Amino acid sequence: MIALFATATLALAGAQAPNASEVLAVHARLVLTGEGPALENGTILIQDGKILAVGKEVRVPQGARELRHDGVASAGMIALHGTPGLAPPAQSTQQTFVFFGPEGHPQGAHPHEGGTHAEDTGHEPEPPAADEPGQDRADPLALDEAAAAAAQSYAAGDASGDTTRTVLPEARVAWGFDPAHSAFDAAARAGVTSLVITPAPKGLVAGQSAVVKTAGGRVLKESAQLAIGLREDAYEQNSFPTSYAGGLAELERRFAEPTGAFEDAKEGRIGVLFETSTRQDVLRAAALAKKHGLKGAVNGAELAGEVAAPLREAGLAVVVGPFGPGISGRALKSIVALAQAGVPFGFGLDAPRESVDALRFSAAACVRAGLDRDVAWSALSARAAEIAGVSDRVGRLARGLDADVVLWSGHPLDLASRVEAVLVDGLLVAGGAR
Amino acid sequence: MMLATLVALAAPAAPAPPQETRRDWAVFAERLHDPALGTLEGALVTIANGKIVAVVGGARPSKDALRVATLTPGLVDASVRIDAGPTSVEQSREVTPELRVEPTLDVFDRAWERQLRHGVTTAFAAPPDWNVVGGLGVVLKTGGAPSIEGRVVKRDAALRGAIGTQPSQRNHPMFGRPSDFYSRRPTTRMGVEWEWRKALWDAAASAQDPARAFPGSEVLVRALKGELPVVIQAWGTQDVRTAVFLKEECVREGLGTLRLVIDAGAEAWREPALLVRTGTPVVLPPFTAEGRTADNAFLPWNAAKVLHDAGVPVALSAHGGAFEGQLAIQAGRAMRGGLPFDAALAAVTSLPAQILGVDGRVGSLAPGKDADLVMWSGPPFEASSGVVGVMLEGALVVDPRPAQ
Repeated sequence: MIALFATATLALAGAQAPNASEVLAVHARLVLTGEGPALENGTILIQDGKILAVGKEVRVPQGARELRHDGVASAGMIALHGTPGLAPPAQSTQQTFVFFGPEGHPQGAHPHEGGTHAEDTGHEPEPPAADEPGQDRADPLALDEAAAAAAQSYAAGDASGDTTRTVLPEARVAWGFDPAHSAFDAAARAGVTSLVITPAPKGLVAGQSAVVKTAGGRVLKESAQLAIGLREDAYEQNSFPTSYAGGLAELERRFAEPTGAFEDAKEGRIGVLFETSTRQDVLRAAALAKKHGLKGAVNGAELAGEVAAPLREAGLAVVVGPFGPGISGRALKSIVALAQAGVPFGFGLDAPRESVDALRFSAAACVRAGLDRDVAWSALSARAAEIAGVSDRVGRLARGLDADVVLWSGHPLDLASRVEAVLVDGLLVAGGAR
Repeated sequence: MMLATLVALAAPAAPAPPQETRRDWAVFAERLHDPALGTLEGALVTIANGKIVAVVGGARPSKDALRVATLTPGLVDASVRIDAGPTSVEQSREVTPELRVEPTLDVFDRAWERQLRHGVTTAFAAPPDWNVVGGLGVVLKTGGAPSIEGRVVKRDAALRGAIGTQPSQRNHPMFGRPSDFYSRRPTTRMGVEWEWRKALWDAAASAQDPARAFPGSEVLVRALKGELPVVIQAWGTQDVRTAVFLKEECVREGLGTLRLVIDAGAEAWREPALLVRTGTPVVLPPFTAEGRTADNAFLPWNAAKVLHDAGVPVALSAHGGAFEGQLAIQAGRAMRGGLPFDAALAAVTSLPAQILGVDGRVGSLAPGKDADLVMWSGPPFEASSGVVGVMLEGALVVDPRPAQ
């Protein structure tokens, strides 16, 4: 079967620039559509990067390329919180715009940043190795350290790493990230096809997050959420605000007569991402959201589920994880409590600090703690897309949505299952080489 | 042994014991101490819906009454100092009277529950003293509702600030020219005093001319009108004097009459006449073994007695200390220094409640007040007695009955 599969995908790999109207039919033993029950022996029809049809009795047009997969097909996963190319939090004091991988020009980023970076580091960067999909590049930890060092040496006196403003509502990570960062490629190969990239979780209003297709780092949604820091470390020691009191008063002022991104958030045109760490931070977020009618999510509070009632009342979602085997039973219970209370949640990735494998592990651990498996899968796909505000494009296998499809050897929440191929916008981006 | 093992094994599977949700009680105490009622032998306290309905002495224990040895009102700490640390006070300005401490507090801080279990049912929380005029403090219950908002007894109960070295600590540049606001800020006692005085004069001016209003000036105007107590931390003699002189200057110059409260007045005992002259109550900081406190101030064991004898209203505080630093122990130490029991009881119940303007709800066991009770194993504040039960608004948060 695998041989057959490999032949098919290799053939596909040769079709990177397909005939515009060519139809691809993917037949899988089990199709997780993301709505309703899974389909046994289902078919996904793909054309022009979009899904034409999904079902058990789909009529395959003549001349369509057919792919038979003896495994599970699902929508690509969506991770809700990642900062590829950022220094680790301890060192990233408002490195909001510095999305550097160690490997060179941040393509698509502000030209000034790329140029200065190359001068600063004094070496000619290698072009990104985008033409070698199946190959691991380097130790992710080593990459991270290098990124941290680059960000640090780069920060002093440079316009892109703002160290003087705690309120930067119009700043967008979409304008300053490195699409060639290896964390994106690693995520795509692991079946995470979309990632919400976020400003460093420091500062009172750090900027706006973006949704990025991990394959090639293309921006799916330029302005996704307004990031608001309610964690203790959002407060500076030597500039306003130094306190929750000052910070909350400033937010009150901004939302009382909102302009720009604050107005967008208050009118519901963009979501709000509250960076929190304690349950009290979550309560502050819920109070703020309720008072000003803000919609969005809280990130970072491990025990958010213990204050699920106020969250539900405020209509906020939660970004949980990622975590490893060291997660406490209490934290897992709190995630299950979110589901019981009807609070929507998805999983963060915090790439590249966390390995992309942490995403599936986190969801599987929740299932072990009693979370319904379909709810857990939805938190990795359809629900996550809703929280990120991109459910009209990704997250499910449904007509009209982007053809982001992952072919698994088994159910994705079975950690023994492997990713065998990944299609993004109908094109093969990983797999088939096995 | 075998049975115990079986019980231990079965415990996780067994349903949790039902949470005590009663708010109606009859509590019988062999002896009851209250700052208003004095001491009653054989006291029966009737509680309905979390409020005290009746207190009678010379009663017989009824069969369904909760029986305890000794009963007092729930304790009140007027300087509990439980906050989020530096993020509870805004330091980018010296004078932030308009900012509230309430949204900076963490309802999940374990310190609240520790206070509650040690008998402190009501507390005043305020911005910590890292700037000069820190902002508005709040009186709240130490337990109950799962949110700070739900525990509030009195919002904006007092304006809080400091005189002394704490607001100017860490403000010196290590070398060279000042480069950030830490070196812009006052670096001396007189600088701190100047900030207070400028704030009060400017606020008084803003009351005449609205064009001179500044953030928080309306709060200072309320303080000058006497509508809002002004709690000023002043450990040492000179700082107590500065605070009192500030109040007297405001009266003399026609700015208004501050309702001044000295907090952490370790050396207030050196100037009782000044305090009596201006009707200023004092909240003492916790006693220390050698009498040394902050700002080099010396707090002797008899400080509370000296102030009390001079006619200064004196409240005690544990500054959030638990275990050996708890409020009940402070009362015991004040008694060791000569303070009579009745004054010690008032210093941790009715007097702080009066200072904070919440004596209509807490601080004594009068009908209509909150059913906040502390149950003791013996005479309160004695080292050999302990808190065995606590009731908060009729909810038995620490059950004095032996486990079944």
